[in-house]
Amino acid sequence: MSATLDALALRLSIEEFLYLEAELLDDHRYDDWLALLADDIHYWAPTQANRLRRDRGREASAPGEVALFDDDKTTLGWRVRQMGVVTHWAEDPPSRTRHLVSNIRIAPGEAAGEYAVRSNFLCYRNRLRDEVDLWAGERHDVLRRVGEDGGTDGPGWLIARRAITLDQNVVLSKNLSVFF
Amino acid sequence: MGADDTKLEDLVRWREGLVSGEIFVDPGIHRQETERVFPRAWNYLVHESQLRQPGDFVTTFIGADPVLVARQRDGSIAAMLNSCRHRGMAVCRADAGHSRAFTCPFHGWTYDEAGRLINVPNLENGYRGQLDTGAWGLTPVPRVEGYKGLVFATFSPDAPSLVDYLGEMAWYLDCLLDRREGGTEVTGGVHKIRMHGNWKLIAEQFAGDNYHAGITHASAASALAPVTADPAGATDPISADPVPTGRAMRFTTAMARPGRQFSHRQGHGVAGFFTSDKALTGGLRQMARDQAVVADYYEATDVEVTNRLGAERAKGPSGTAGLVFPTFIYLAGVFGASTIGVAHPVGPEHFELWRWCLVDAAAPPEVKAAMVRCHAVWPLGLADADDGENWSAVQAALQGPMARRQLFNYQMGMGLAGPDPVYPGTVSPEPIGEEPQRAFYRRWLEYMTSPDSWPEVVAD
Ligand code: FES
Ligand SMILES: [Fe+2]
Repeated sequence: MSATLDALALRLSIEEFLYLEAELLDDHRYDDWLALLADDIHYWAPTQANRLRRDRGREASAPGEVALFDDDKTTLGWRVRQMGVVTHWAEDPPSRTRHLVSNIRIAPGEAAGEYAVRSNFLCYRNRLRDEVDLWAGERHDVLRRVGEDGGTDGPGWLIARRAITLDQNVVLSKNLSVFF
Repeated sequence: MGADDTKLEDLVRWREGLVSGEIFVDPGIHRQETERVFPRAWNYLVHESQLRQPGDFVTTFIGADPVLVARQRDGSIAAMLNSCRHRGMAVCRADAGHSRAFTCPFHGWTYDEAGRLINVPNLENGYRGQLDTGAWGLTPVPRVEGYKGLVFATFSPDAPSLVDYLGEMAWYLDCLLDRREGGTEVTGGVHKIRMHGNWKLIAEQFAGDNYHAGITHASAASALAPVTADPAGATDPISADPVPTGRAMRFTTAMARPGRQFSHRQGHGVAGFFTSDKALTGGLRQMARDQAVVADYYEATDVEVTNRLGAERAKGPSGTAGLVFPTFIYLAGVFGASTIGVAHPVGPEHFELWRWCLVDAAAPPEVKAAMVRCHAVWPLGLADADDGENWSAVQAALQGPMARRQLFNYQMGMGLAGPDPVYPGTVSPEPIGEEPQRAFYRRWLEYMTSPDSWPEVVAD
C-alpha cells in the first residue's frame, strides 16, 4: 500500500514539474526555464530520416551526427539569451505557444535519485497574422531529484538529459525558435 | 500571367539594379524556371563521401524533379529520375541507404542502381515477352560531374563542363574544399527545413548579401558575445575586437570590415570578409568548449592550409558565404561550422533548405564532433531562425498586386566591380554590395529567355 502511495506521490511530483516547465515556456520565462536544467544537461534532438525497411531503427541521426539540437547548458544559454535580444526578429512580436505534455511514463534511472521519464508532447505555435506550426514528438528525459526530500524551495527536480524525437522528416516550420 | 520574354526583361532590369517582386510569386514564372533554369544548370546533388560503396544511394531533387543518385559498380556516380517508367511512381522513397535494386511499389517494376529495368512482373503472360526492357530504364540525368567531392548534374547537352561552368568560382571554393590533403567529407545527418519564401531569396543572399547579417543576425551575435564580469574584457565574437558594453554588439560596425565580393557571369557569387588570425581563433575560442576545439584546430592547421592555398585565399573573402548557381550554398567556418547546402524550390512560395556539416577528412574525430555540434547550434539554430523570418515576411508582403509590382533596389555598389590585383574574376572592393545579386539575376534572365537550350554567355 505504501509502495503504491510512494509511486503516486512520485508521479504527481514529476507531472507537476513537467507542467511547470511547459508553463514557463509558454509564458516566455526562459531564464526560469533554464534554471530547471542541470548544469551537465545534454539536450538533443536528432533528425529523422526516411529509411528502407531493412534500415528500420536507423531513422534518427546517431549521436555525433548532425542533430536539430545538440546542446549543453552553455549553448542553451545562448538560445535563451537570444530570446531576450531586442533584434531577435523570429520572436518579435513573440510567438504564442502552447505545450501539451502527456503519456508520462516513469522508470528508475541509472543513478540514485534519477528517473527515466518519457512523455509525449504536442506544441502549437501561432504567430503574426496567421502562421501556425504544430510539432508532435516524444521526450526521453532523465530527471534528477534535488535535495533529500525532493527539494525545499525549488520544484524539486532538474532535467539532467533530454532526448527529443520530433516527428518530422523535413522540419516543416521556418525555424525552431522554440524548446520542446 | 504568362512569362513572356519581353515582360521578363521589364521585371529584371539588372543594368539599373532593379528587380520586380513578381519574379518571387508568379506561378507562371516559377513553372518556367522549373523548365528553363534547373534542368539546364549544373545542380548540386551530393557529396561523394555520402556514397562510399556501390549501391549507396540518396534521393534528392533537380529543381522540381525527383532524382535518385547512386554509386555504381565501376565507382562512378549516376543520377536518374526517381520516377518509374510505367506510371511515374517514385521507385525509391528512402532519403538514403544502400540497395542494388529499387522495386516500384505500384506494379513492381524493378531497377538496378544504374537505373536498368531488371524485373517486370508478369512479363510473359502480361506482355507476352514483348516488352523491350532495355528501352525502359529510369530516365538518366545524362551528365554528372564532380569537383573536389561535390557532385553536380545537368540535363543539358550544351552546358559547358562543370569545371568551365564554375570558372574562377573553383578558386574560391578551394578555400572550403581543399584546405588539407584528403579533401573534405560531410558528417552523418542533414538538416532539412521547409522555408516559406521563394528559392531566389536565399540564392541571392548566399551569392552576395553580407549586408543583412549586421541586422538580421545581430541577436545571434549578441547572444554569443561572451558575458564577462569585467565588461571591458569582452570581445566581439567575429572580429575579436573589444566590445565596451559586454554583450551589446556593434554589429553594423563589424559589417564595415574589409573584404571582397566576387561575381561570376554564370551567376555564382562569393561575399566575404578577410579573416585575421585574431578573428579566426580569438573570438571563437572564447565562445564555448566546442568552438575552442575548432579554434585550436584552425590554429594547428594554419601553416598547412596557408601553404596549400596561399595567404590571400586562406584568409580571403571566400571564408564567409557563397553560391554556385542556381542553388548550391556554403558557409565557410562560420562560428566553428562549415556548411554546404542546397535550396530546393517547392513551388513559388516555399523552398527546402538542406544543409550538411562539411569537415576536413583529415581532421581528428574530436574536431569533427565539435564541428557537428557547432552546426546544430549555429546555422539552424541561432542564425536561420531570423533568416526564416525575413523570407516568410517578404513572401507574405508580396501577395498583393501592388506590392509585388514594386521594383526593388539592387543598386548597392553599382559600378565598383572589376579586376582585382589579388582576387580572380570580377571583384568588388567591399564585402557588402549587390554586384553578385545583379549577376545572379542577369544570368537567371538569360536562362528564362532562352526557349530551347542552355544559354550561352555573351560577352559584354
Ligand atoms: S508505376 Fe511503377 S510499376 Fe507501375
Ligand atoms: Fe542570414
